[in-house]
Amino acid sequence: MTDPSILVLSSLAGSDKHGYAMMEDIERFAGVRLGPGTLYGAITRLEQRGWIAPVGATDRRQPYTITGAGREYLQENLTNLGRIVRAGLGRLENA
Amino acid sequence: MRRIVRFLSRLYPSAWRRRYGAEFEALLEDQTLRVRDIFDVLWGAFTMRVTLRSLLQIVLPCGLVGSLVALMIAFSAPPRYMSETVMKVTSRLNSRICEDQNDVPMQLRGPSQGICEEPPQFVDQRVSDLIRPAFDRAFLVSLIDEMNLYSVERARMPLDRLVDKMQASIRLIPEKEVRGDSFVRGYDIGFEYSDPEVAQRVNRVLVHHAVDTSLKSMLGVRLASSIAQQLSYRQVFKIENDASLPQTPAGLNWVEQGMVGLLAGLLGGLVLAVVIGSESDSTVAEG
Repeated sequence: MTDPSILVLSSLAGSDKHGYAMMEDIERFAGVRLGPGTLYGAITRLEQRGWIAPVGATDRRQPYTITGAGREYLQENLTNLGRIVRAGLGRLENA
Repeated sequence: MRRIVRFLSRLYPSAWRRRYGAEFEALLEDQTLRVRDIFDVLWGAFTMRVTLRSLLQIVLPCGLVGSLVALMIAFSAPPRYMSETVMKVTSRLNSRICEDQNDVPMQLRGPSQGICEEPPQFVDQRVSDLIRPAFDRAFLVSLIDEMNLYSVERARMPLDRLVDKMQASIRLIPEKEVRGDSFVRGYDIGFEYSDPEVAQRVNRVLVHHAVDTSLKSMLGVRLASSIAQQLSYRQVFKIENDASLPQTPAGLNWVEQGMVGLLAGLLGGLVLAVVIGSESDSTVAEG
């Protein structure tokens, strides 16, 4: 599960973060290091779709927050993913 | 590394850089960059320039136009047929010749080490030097006249250009692999023309003329050289098969030409999408 959009949304679901903080957080909880191009590609797409939004910046580091639509999208995707994970693990145990 | 990645970040569309440039640079300053980040930023810039919309609006139509143009060319241009003949050239020189030609790296061969062989590229050059003059302009002009070649083109094209066209239609290619006796080299002589039977007849004349001219040329060399060299030098030309009668047109068929056109169009469209990516991405910055 390395979809950068889902990883960014999952990171922002905990708290508002700027790019570098997201990158570190994602590496911590998912074990995936997103490159700067990949991260900002995801940020651009997510902001364009209205799933994240910039919040007040104190310097050049721009923090982002997840929007209501973003939460819904993340919830839906993680629920589906959870179903797949449960099914796969269950089948592995029964095999 | 940081300087390279920062430099590459300029490849992002200007509208994107206006919106995200400052924070993106801050991110680059905050972290330790790796080599793979170079490719990551390059790919990021590419995907920012080539959006789904630009793919649909620019790249696909360009691919369609490319394939249509290629198909139009394929159907409007008359088919070309290539008649082919294989000519084998046996080339042997004795050791004395080897010693005489110190500038040519030859290898001694044979049971008594009395025969040496030239490296293939030297043989190729020698054969090319012998055969190419056979297809000189005077001969081709006479052939065009005698065989009434290019009858349609002759009405609208000067003779000089017709000869150029004919020379471009003659193929002389050494065989890639040397099989069996390494003294023997094969050469593929071909002639391309719009009529398969004419292609065959012309190719037959070309090959025999090439062999005749080469033999005369070699004879001239021998007469001018010493008796020892005359006896030691042996280069035998043998026409392996008669000129073929081509059954199918040479080159790509219309499907392949259409595919080439499609690929060329897609590639051109991709370049176009990248070039105008800044404009097409302006909505990203505004959104």
